[in-house]
Amino acid sequence: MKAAIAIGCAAAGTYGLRALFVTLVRPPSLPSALERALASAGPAVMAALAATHLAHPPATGGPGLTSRLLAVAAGALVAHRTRHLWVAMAAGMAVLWGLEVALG
Amino acid sequence: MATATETRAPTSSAARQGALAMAPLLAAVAPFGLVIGATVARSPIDAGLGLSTATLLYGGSAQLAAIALVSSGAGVAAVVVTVMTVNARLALYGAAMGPVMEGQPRWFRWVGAYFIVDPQYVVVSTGVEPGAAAAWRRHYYLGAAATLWIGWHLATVAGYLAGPVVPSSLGLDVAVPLYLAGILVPRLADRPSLAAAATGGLVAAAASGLPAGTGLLLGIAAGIAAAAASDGGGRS
Repeated sequence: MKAAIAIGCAAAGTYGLRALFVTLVRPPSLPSALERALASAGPAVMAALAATHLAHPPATGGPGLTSRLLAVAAGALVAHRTRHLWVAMAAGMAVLWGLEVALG
Repeated sequence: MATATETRAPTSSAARQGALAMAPLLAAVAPFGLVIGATVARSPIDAGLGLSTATLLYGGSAQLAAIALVSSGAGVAAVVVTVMTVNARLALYGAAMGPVMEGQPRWFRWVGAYFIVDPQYVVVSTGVEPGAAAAWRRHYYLGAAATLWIGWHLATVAGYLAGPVVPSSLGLDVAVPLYLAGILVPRLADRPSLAAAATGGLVAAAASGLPAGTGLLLGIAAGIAAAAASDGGGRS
């Protein structure tokens, strides 16, 4: 029940954010510092989510932390070089499976 | 006087143009939907509630954060604050939708607002001509929105159905941090973004053992604070 309430409240709040400057109020001139801080929320969120997921995967019995870290590092490097998401994900998974085979 | 867009592109084709413009982005984000569906399948969260986030939150990062927090037993406030922080940029997108929403009926403003998310913003901000008729802009917007919405939900359900049949030893859940790294790294173009990502990731990892998803919240807050501290009055 608590989970459903949490998701419901989060959904209402999210819709409020979406509709705020479309239907409710005119968009204000945000202080530049606030606008820049909000622009950094994306990288902070993505990095925090990735780190949390690496530290506590949803499934047990999978590859170990070292293999997972190396796989994500490889994927990040390929993403940096190629700017191509699919290639980066494929490279990371290939590294993961290669390590699992090599390490037994 | 009618603009070139009004005379050249009737509304019947505007929806199709919006759908076609969205298709490549849908292909890019669909893997994230698959991963989210698979995450729901492997998490202790109620399946119906987990899958409903695709409709209720309609945003990959927010869904992932909510699922992670709910699965860890986080309180209502923690989930709401985290999701609102993750989705704060949506308010900025809404503010930037002025050229699209100008002259639109009220029902469209309320309905259209729901579909504001990163791919929608990209497609609409680049594909809508400022001088286009309101009806054309509305049909284009809805064509793009419907394409993404339907595709996103199909991907999430497909991921949920395929998740349990895939052995956990394959480590497919690594696709989640891989996806996040894949879309994050190209965005690290300045010092504040680098500071945000580095600090957010390290703090979240260090605090990952804290209960109720507190580590995730701390990581996000620390990352934003680090970005603000390194900004120094303007991006470098």
